[in-house]
Amino acid sequence: MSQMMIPAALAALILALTRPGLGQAPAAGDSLRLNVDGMVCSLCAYGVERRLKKIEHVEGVRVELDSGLVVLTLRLGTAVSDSVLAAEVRRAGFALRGVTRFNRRRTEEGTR
Amino acid sequence: MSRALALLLCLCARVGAAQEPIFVTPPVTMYQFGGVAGVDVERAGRTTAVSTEAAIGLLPPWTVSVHAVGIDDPRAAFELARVHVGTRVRLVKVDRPREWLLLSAYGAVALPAGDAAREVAESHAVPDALFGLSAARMARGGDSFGDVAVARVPTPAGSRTVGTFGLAWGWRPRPGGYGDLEGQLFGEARMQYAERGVAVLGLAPGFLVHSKNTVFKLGVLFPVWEREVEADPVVRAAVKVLF
Repeated sequence: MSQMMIPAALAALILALTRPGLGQAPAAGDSLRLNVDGMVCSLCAYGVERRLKKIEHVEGVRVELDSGLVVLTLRLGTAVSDSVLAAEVRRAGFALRGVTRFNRRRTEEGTR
Repeated sequence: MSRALALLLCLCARVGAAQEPIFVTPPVTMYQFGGVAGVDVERAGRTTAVSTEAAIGLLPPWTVSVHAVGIDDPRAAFELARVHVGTRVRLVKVDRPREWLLLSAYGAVALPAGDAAREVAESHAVPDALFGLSAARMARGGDSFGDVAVARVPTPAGSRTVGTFGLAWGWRPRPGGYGDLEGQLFGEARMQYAERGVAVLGLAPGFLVHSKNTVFKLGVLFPVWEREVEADPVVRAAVKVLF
């Protein structure tokens, strides 16, 4: 019984460590989906976009006003922490409710 | 006198104003290390008031601004009436999905100017100082605003206090995506009360269009009720750019 639990625990540990968004540095080329509260119009979105574009490693910013989402694309091999994102959104005058991370390399492998 | 009061309805509102609505002061403060700059043109009777404003955010809840007002009166050459230095502080902000609520306090004082500027400020009721509170609820479907302000206005005999109260409702008929040209229709109401019992109530239909960081807005303020004075309608147009 204990022999079966050790591999299972190891597998759970590996899964937890490689799962995006749990404090570890995201893998290369991540896309980040930010839920931003308070964005209601183009002027709000412009302020958020302007702040997020200034973050190092951010390659692209796309705002979806209707869903209150901002999609960030990072440069390959780079990472941005949640705290940096939250600070920049706050400086733009809004609140970051959550971040969902998508690993580009893993997604590409998954579609092959 | 009537023209001066009609102009004041707008000049009080303009200091510290950012992008919305047209006559009622919005409570926006969120321009850290960026800002808003714009030109307002206002026509009341045969007098045109031109003002420029630049507001810079030093912190998300704190902006400072510089605002200059010039008056073009058919009886005289264009004259700079006042340069105001203002500030705005965010008191409360609540962010919700596709909605925010904001309350802020603002104030402005006029820099010292020469006798010629003071005469123009007196004849067109450009304030020496003002203090106000403004609140807003902004949402995808439309925005609503409230504003209360007290201004000190120069007169040949000294000065007098003028209070204004404004409400505005906005409606976006077709909320667009980011970067699309988007419009909002406004209905605004402003009431002004001055010492010695002078009061004016004005209603203003208006609209604004914006795309990303550029805003154009136009509104007409119609006095619908006056006590002791007869105010002229005021047309106001403005272009503002966020940077």
